[in-house]
Amino acid sequence: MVILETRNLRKNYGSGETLVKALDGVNLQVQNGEFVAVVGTSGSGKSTLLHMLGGLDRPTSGEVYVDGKNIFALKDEELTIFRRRKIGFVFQQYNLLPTMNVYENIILPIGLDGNLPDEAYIREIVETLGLESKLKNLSVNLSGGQQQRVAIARALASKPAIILADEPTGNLDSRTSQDVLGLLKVSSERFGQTIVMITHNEEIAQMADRIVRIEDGKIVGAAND
Amino acid sequence: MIKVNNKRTIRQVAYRVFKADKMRNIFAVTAVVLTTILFSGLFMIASSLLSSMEESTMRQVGGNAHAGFKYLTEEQYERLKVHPDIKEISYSVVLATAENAELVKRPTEIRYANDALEAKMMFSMPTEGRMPEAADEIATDTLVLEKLGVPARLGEKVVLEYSVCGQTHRDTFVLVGFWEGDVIMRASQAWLSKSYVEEVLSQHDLSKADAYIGSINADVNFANSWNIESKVLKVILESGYETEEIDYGINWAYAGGSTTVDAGTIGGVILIVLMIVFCGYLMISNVFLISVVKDVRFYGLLKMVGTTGSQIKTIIRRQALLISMIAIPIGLLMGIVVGAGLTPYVLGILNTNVIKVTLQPWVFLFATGFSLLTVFISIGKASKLAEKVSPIEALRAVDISDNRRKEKRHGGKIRLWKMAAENVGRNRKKVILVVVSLSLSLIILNTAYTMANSFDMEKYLSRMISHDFVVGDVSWFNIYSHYINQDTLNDDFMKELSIQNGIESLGKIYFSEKGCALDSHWDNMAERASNELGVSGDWLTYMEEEIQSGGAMYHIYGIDDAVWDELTVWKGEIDLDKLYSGDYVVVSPYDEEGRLSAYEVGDTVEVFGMDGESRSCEVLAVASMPYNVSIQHTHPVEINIFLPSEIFLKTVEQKAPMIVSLDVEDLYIPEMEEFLSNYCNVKNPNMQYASRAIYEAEYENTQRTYKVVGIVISVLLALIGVANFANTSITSVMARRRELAMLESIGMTVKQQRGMLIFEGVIYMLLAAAFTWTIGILFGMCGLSLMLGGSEYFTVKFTVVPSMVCLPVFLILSVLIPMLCQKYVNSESVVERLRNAE
Ligand SMILES: Nc1ncnc2c1ncn2[C@@H]1O[C@H](COP(=O)(O)OP(=O)(O)OP(=O)(O)O)[C@@H](O)[C@H]1O
Ligand SMILES: [Mg+2]
Repeated sequence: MVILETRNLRKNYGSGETLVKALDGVNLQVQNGEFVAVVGTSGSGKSTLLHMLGGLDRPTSGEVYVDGKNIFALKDEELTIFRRRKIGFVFQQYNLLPTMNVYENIILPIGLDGNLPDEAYIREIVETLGLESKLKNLSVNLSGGQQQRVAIARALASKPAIILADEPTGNLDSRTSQDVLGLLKVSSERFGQTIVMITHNEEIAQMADRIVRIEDGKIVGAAND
Repeated sequence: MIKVNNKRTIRQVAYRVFKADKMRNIFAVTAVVLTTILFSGLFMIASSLLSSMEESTMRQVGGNAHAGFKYLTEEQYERLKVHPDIKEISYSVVLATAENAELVKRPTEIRYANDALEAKMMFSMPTEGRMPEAADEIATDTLVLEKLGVPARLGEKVVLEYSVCGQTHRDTFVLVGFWEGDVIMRASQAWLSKSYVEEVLSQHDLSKADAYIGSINADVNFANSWNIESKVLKVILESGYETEEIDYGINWAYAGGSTTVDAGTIGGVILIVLMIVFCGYLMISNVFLISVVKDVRFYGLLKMVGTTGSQIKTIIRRQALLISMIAIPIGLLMGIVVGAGLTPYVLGILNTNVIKVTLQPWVFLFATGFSLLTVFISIGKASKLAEKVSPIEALRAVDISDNRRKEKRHGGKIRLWKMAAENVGRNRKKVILVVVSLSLSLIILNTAYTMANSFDMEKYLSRMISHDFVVGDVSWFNIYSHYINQDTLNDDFMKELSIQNGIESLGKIYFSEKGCALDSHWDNMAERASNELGVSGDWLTYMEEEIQSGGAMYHIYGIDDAVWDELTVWKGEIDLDKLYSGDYVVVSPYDEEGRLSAYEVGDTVEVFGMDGESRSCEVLAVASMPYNVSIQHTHPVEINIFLPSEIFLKTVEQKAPMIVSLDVEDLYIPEMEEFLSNYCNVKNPNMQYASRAIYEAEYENTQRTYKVVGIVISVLLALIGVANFANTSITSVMARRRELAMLESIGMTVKQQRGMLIFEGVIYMLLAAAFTWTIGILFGMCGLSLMLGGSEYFTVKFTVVPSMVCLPVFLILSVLIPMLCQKYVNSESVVERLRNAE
């Protein structure tokens, strides 16, 4: 079953002489439960694609279907709610809320949706990520790797159908990177989650079910398609 | 998953954001405190005004009962009083009005009261002692006691004179209770016992007396003061009477705000409320707007993790609520103190009878309500902005902090000035708003100060009183009654006065008013008055009619030598030797400025004397006597003739002087004051005096009032001006933030940016100053001259001192505000702090 699909997706920045075609007609299909790695040179449009997939930004043209739903047909408010239920994000820059402690950060999307967290599950994630002793810390007081793990825990906490990750291990040492990826993979298998992950690391890309390569805003070669 | 309310999470986020941004909170709390101070101060004054007016009315009415039934029989009273709607009822019975000579100035009603409740409802409850019980007991107020010369001490003897059905009574009572009298109440009460009053009434056939004598006057209170009249009618009808059978009255103190507060006052209050809302909006909305712009990444982040627009709005609203929860109580407290402090001045200007500072519960309610309303209006723009933040903002690199600090030492300043000027020129509307509101506050301050300063004590005093003291019959001082031949200043008084210490001059003025026939000098006076003085309307018509009828009023004054000097001579010359011959007189012109006179020097005037006979006298001079020693009323056709006292007494009328003016050595002024006060209050209640000291105090009070109110208004305007200015500054900073990349590319550092903003501020201030000191002050002065032109107490003394003093303050603000804004906007946002923590 196709859970993620883009149709002729385009995104331009600027205009005239400074026009940048960050995405230039991307058609991509991702199956439910698939682990896809996106690779490409810097500036090729990987992050832009991920933003579109997650509905963080609106495309210049084209559509994105998540679970069969055209997400850009939704109003802002609906899109936000849809996003927090279906998609978890992990970014290179951690993006934790600095004023809240680790635990609060992790359960924030659940609380925003008006739900009570599944404590047992959260504990499991926290233990796997080695954050047990840090739960009460303010996120600013954590190391980069710890912060990244918190961001992953947050992305997993609400058991989203899709996890979108932009260089999640970019700032981590190789051992931690392996742990984090291992967790992502285990979790995705357990809950049938789909993962789309951007990486520059070929080694990491090899862990994926499929590698999508982007150049100049276009998909140039996709294994296992 | 179990569904719960997401409010908890939102509240938590809001609280955390709130806690994280201390600087924003300080600004926001300050802005809300200021707004609340303005509202609660205003409402505090309004509350005091309302209750002062209500109390003034009640005291004039002489009671606080909701309504009264009048002329009741015992039977009617018994039937009415059991009605269930009546919460309290009591009554009194009038015996008569006191006729003691000492009480002419203080109407005193003699009654008995059913109980103490009645005395309370009539504000006449003894605070010392008790109500009378035995037939020879009396309770009354200190005003009555003072007039009667009885010390306010229980057990004193009080003699009352009164008459019932034409028969005079005189009885002595023992004082068993008294209370502080109130001059605002139209009459004092003298309570006697029921047994005494009934005994006296039984001696008379009351059918011949006035209806109110001996009948029951009931005072009623209902559960509340809503729609009293319908309650009264209901009681009457349900007690089995027709509405015509029972006389009733509603206490008009309860007639409701609608009748006691006029539309102008309400309009004024609404205008001020709008002004405060505007002022608060400018301050508060800026603070929130700037904080959202600063934390745009944070809000983007919230969006990214799934916070919806409306949830973000709630977060902003909660922060506003938290800020209000801190700020409003502080503002209320301060505002009430400020309002209470200003109340006497504002009520002084509004001329209320009673000045009472009253805090009513609705002040809290309204001030809180309006402050909250202002806060929520103010955060509208900011919360809309936050709501619309794109989640992608969270991922955008923020390009603010410039640590390169490359500084060009030369050539920078000129360009900064130019850029600042260009920026100012870019939004003209805002420039006008800022400049006008800033200079308006300066102008108003300046004008108020000028006005207070121009209020000329000498002019005021010379109009009100030109001597240390003026003594006369009560009626001379009272604009509603006239002096008519009262011989109050009799020989006894004159003798006592003359032996007082320190008298420098003593001028007696005698006055006689006589009707007479007009002579030919008046034939064309109406025409001349219309042409030369511009007299028109009713006064002219009246004048024409009077001249037509040929009747006129002679005001003949006999004045002592000391008074002659006070006359303003328009034509001719005052020669006392000639005047003492009795063949000459001085006459007054028709108008106060001596432009028109029916008689010229050398004309002949008929002066009417003792027995209706008249003597022809030659006009020696045309001169005016100061108003403050003249008779206090005028007539369209009146001829003022001045004679020396001696001649007046010999040829016109043998009588006591109308007034005596006194100048006393400074050292003896208190002594004289004491003597006169004692004489007028105790010895001869028909006598009254005025002193320079009383008017001086009044003058100072008025002057202070102008100053305080002027300062308050200009502070309010200054606040708006400064808030507006801060707004421009912030907008400018926000725009710069976006332009930063561009500006950086041409080499502008943060420091230079700040310099540019400061230059902008200085430009605004210079514009405001230029506007103020040219057109502004000119207009202010023109307005002032126009306003005060008609008033004779003012000499406009031009000054720019207050605006000069304020300008440095504004200049400091013009530097400080942009610096603060810039610092705040460019301070690390919460997300950046996170980044830099790496
Ligand atoms: N907000 C923006 N405004 C203008 N241009 C942008 C914006 N975001 C991205 N771009 C441009 O779009 C193109 C694609 O950028 P994108 O961030 O998707 O690249 P990327 O593949 O993620 O690169 P990297 O591997 O370095 O992260 C780039 O040329 C970039 O300069
Ligand atoms: Mg990227």
